Amino acid sequence: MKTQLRKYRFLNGELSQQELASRVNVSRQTIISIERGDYNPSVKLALLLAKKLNTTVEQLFQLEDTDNA
Amino acid sequence: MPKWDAISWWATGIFVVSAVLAGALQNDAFLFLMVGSYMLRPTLNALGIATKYTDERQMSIQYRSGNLALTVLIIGIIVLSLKARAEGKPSDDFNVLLIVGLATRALVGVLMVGDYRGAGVRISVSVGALWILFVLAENGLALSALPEASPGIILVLLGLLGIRQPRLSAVLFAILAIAALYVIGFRTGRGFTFYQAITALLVSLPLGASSFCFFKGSRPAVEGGSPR
Repeated sequence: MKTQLRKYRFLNGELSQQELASRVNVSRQTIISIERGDYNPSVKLALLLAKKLNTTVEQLFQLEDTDNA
Repeated sequence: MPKWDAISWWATGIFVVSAVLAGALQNDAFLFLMVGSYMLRPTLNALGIATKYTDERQMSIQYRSGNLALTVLIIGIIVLSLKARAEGKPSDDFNVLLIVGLATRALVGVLMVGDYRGAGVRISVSVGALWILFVLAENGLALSALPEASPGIILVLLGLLGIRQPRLSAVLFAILAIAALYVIGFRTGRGFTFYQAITALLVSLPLGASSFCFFKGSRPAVEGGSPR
């Protein structure tokens, strides 16, 4: 899964990973893992991230060809 | 690293109390309490308590590490059990530990699937089949083993009855669970010894769980599945 989390963090006033983590009530390490593509967030967290970054889940996360249906 | 929160304070408190008690009373058994401080957060997370302190990635790590830890623990128990047998010592304690651990995992897994009627069938048929297997392993395929195997056969039949008549099965399993507790624990009149308690738990818990599952599964299913 591809993510644009980093891009949208910067589009939202250069939010730090820690600030974003605090806003969605997770650890900074979780944000780092999502940005690296090491961890796929739950639907709830994806929706929360999209809400806090004023965008949609589809803009934040996209499926890749390697993500089998 | 997880955020410092109320659970962290509680865990620290348990750690300090265990160290102070061990030191003050000169009894290192209190150090076992430290396990509680380490296991507090994963246990609360697994039970769905204090979810506001839960980081979902941390939780997924805990589930994976927990499964691996269980596997390592099981291998350790099997090794110790085999070692005890080889030395001619009793290995019952290890076997009980193994069964309690595996039964807990299976029970929680089956219950969490949410298909209560199916869970009732799986629990009762599995326990019944295991009973029959143990009897067959001890006695072979002899007709004389039938009386000993009959509780297992009854469990399987009651489990299968639950597919069509869940409420009746629920009542029968509840009666069996209470009867098992009475026969194993109280009939002797000396109360529970450790082994009686463990035996009662191993016999009554699956029966009680089957009763609960069939009772829950007897309600008509909501179209379209659970809203949660």
